[in-house]
Amino acid sequence: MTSSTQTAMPDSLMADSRAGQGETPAVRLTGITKTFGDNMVVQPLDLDIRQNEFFSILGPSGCGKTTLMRMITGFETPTDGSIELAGSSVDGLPTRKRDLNMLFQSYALFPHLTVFENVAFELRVRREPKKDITRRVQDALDLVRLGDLGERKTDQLSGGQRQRVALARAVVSRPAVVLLDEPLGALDQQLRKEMQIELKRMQRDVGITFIYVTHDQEEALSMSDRIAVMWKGRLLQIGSPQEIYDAPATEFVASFIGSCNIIPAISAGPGNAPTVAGIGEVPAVEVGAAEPVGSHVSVAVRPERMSVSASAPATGWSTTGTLTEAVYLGHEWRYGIRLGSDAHVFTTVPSTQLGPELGALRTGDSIFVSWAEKDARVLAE
Amino acid sequence: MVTTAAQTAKPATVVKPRRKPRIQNGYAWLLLTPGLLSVLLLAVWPMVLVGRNSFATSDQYGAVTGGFTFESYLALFDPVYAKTMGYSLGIAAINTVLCLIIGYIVSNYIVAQSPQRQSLLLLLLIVPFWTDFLVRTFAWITLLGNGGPILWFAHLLGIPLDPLVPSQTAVMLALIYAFLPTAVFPIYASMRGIDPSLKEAATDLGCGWWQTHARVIAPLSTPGIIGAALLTFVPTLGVFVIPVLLGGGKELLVGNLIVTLYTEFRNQPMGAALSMVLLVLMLLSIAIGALLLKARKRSA
Repeated sequence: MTSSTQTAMPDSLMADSRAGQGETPAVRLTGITKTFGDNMVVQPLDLDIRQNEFFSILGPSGCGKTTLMRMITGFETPTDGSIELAGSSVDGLPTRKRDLNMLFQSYALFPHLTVFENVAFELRVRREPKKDITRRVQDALDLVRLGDLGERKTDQLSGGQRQRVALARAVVSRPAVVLLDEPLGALDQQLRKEMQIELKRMQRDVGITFIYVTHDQEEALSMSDRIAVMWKGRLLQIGSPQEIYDAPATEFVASFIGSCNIIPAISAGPGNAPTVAGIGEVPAVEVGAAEPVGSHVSVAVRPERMSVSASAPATGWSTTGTLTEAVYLGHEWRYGIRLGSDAHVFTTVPSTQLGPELGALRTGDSIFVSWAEKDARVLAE
Repeated sequence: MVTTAAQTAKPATVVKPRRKPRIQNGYAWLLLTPGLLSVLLLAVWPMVLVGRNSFATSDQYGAVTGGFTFESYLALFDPVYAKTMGYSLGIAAINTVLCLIIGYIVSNYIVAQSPQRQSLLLLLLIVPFWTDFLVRTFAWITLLGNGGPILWFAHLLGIPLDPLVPSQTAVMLALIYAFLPTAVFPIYASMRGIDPSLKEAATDLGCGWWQTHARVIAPLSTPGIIGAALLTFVPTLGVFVIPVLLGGGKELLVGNLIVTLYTEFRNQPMGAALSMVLLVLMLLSIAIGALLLKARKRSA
């Protein structure tokens, strides 16, 4: 495995940005770039989004994900590159002629229209037959479980209901693609969880490609078929939620999705265990481009994949650290540990699995830390 | 006439406060007195006098002699006056429609600009108000008249153009010029409150430029458009300087007729009667505007 640029995706992951042979992707981006002044907010990128896929673009605010989405809708013109929808180019085509709809963050419901009129809006603009409109709008309202609220004004609705109306309006004309711009942002925690399940159900029911833009990793993990992690205008990794979580390609992906211990280390070259200052060699899987001997790398280990014990485990690799904090969180204990000369890690132990030995440890005591090779990954900085 | 109309037009667009302000002690009326007195003395009392005079009789020299008669009102049914009234209403309607169209386009342009640019453009609209209305009307004579820049430029291009003053065109141009800012402000205020994502949503749902405006932006700007219509239509009826200076005084508006009745014909009761008719027309249009707004709010 080789890579031409240092920070780009490893080839194995880059391959995921293109669909397999024979299938026409719902959306295909080729060399898409966006520059505002001197600021390149979207670096040249390629991406295929499959048909009927729930695809999330996940990244912190300012990473370029909204700009990327707005280029697909046609609200922004790419500085370079081309966009295909269902196999045909939409470059230069205005938004209204693209077979897609958007769910706006603010919902953008028309305040002078009723719920029914809002949902019927596109069908009326496109001059569909009247009797079709009534039936299709009713179907869409039933889909979002607002069947009997058609005559309400939008300001008589709760936040969650407004969102459902916006969704019904976006899917009523059965576009090939619906883009959702952080649609759950304005809802309270309880409603968000409900809507996550609902959105996923609706996407399956209507069979439309959903492109979901969010900064919330939990939302992305719980709903997506695939996730693209975006940072500083680049796609760092594309994969299923499991792949993204279990096999992060870069340090950023590892720490942005869930929590992750990042332990500084020195590469010993391909096939050799990296060295952590004060500990020595640690087990870890080398991924992507092999880093040259002596270069600075990180070893990434999820907290729940680390095990701790008061005495050395009978088998396998382990090292000792110093317990710096032990915090009780109800369902689990959170241990902070100083490892080697300059690494701080933390790990969690379910409360039910805390033995008397471990429970007796106080801060400052030595603690044994171990992990399996498959659970630790060597990542370039 | 023009100023009272503009003042009475305002409450139609202002939302009433929900709660009545509580008067803390017995001295509050002291604070209200100056305002109340000036309104009573300078607006209400003259209007009462005009109203009284419109039913009075006068002697040969135009002095009001008292009495009570409907003669002055009946005299207004003379075709000459009816014609002027009709003409005024027509001109006011045309001016209103043109000001609304141009005002809508201008507002739509302004709201699309950056906030700093918006303030600058609005300031540019206000600046002419710092100059006297009469002076600005004279400026139009210079602009359109013989030896003015427009004729000079037309001749330079070889277009044979007669001096535009006096003409109907000049009157119309000056009326639009005079009332455009008053049309722009209410429409701009309405448009500024429209969430920009609504425009994008309309585009996303298949609307072109025309549909976006017809289905979303214009309906949402209705309060401003109604306000602008009132602020343009009503005061146009009372204008008298523009037709005299730019129209050569040939086609008169109601405002001119009132001035002529008072000063040239020295027929005070008839001038007063016509003023009252104009006042009623203005109140009527304000009432219609208010009803339209109310109906819209109820359906919203």
